Amino acid sequence: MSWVFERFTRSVVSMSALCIFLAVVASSLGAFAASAQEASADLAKGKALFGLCTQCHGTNGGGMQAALAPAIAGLPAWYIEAQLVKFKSGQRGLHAQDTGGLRMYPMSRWLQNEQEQKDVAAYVASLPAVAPAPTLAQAGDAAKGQGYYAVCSACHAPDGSGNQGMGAPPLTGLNDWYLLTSIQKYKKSIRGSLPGDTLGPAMIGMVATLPDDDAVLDVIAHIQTLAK
Amino acid sequence: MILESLLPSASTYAGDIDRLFDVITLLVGIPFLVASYLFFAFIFRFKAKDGKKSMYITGTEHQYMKWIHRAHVPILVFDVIIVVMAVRVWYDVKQNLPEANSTVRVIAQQWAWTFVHPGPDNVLDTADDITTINELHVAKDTLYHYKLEAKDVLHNFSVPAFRLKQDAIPGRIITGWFEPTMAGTFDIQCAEICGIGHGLMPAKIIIEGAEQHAAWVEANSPLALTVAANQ
Ligand code: HEC
Ligand code: HEC
Ligand SMILES: [Cu+2]
Repeated sequence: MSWVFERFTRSVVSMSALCIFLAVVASSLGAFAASAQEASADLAKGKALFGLCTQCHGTNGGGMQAALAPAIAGLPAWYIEAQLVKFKSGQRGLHAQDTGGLRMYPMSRWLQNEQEQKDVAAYVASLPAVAPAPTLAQAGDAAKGQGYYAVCSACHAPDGSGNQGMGAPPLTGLNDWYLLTSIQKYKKSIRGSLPGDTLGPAMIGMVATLPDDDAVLDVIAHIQTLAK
Repeated sequence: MILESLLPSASTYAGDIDRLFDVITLLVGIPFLVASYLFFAFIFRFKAKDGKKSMYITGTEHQYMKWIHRAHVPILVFDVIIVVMAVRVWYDVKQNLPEANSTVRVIAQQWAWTFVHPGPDNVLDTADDITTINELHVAKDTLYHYKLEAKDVLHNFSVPAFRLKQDAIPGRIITGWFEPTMAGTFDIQCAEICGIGHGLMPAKIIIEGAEQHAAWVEANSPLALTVAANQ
């Protein structure tokens, strides 16, 4: 019987040696490939990753209110990447009252590394921005809103195109319902108050310049006129 | 014995469930092995041979039937054993509600767990409650009631180390209990498909000794935090 045992152990040993060898070859090939592409984002990979995002953000990245997911198509890559990092590290979304944020949080964790964040951000940024249709039942007064917007323009720019230096995103091309929920979340410190969030607290201060619900609707109405 | 070798058992009733699991595995596994052995042994033993004519059996004679009749007896006995043991464990885990030392609120939503701890006063729904996301803090050897809620769709509060699973149903508050017996950090998972992020809603349960847990409660109570901020 001992020959059976011997043959068995010998084959197990040689199989494991083969497996280890293959694993080493595969991982060094992988490392080589990774180092070759680290510098730039890979749009093809980004497009593949974007498949998941379409489930909530829509096939063209135009947003889906039922999923609470805003339009993201055409947002600048730096902002998308920064938000993916913020979601994943718990600086955004991880608040008990943030229904939308808690849905986006696990999706940010699904992206495995910085490279994937970069790839998908670059792809989303390359999509043409959409002009979302108005959805709010009660529209604000854009003329009054322009007055309130004077404060905002310091960071979000007079034309709403944002300012990378300030970390302020464009406000054009966003859904009106998302502008509303975002401002409300800042007002209730649901967004911008989490540990580690350095840019968010400033926004909590800024939305305090909008005295009431009407003012919020007015400034949104003005932002909508900026959208081209 | 089988489950515990794979996963620590960290609640008072985990051992009962493991024992039930072992009993079922043995009662079903041993007859399965015996039957499989006989099945293949007979196939080889009585395979077609040159010059040997096979016998025609109708299977109605007592001499053959008895192999079927007799096998029914252990099946019935085993069934009764399994049912009696299972009902007793089920009653203990799900139907009986022992007096609690503390109560926590567990809220499931797409796709996160919110835990509300009672804070230093040990009473839920007061100003000193501690709310955390995806992190439940409990003390060892303390009997907890959980009040389980779902905000949107069905979820399931599953703590494998406790052998605990409980559906969370929108519109209902389901009360259950557990008592941790081992310090450590263990997984909490959702065990009911709840949408695209179902697999991405893991949480942790952190079990500490009474003193360490009390220290955590003191340090994290919102009242303590406001005092610290005002100083
Ligand atoms: C399960 C639905 C869902 C999926 C899938 C999803 N998201 Fe989101 N996403 C949301 C929701 C909801 C929000 C809004 C969060 C909020 O209200 O703060 C959001 C917000 C965002 C934001 C912030 C937008 C802004 O203007 O600040 C970015 C960027 C984003 N998602 C990118 C992605 C990317 C990239 C993917 C794919 C990897 C993805 N999302 C997949 C639901 C989803
Ligand atoms: C001090 C600069 C600053 C000012 C002034 C400012 N913002 Fe912001 N805003 C920011 C930054 C930075 C962010 C991004 C925060 C983050 O990274 O989470 C932001 C984000 C936002 C968002 C969320 C956008 C998104 O895609 O999720 C909205 C909406 C917004 N601001 C509206 C306003 C309005 C309305 C005003 C005027 C009342 C205003 N902001 C004034 C800096 C500013
Ligand atoms: Cu779930």
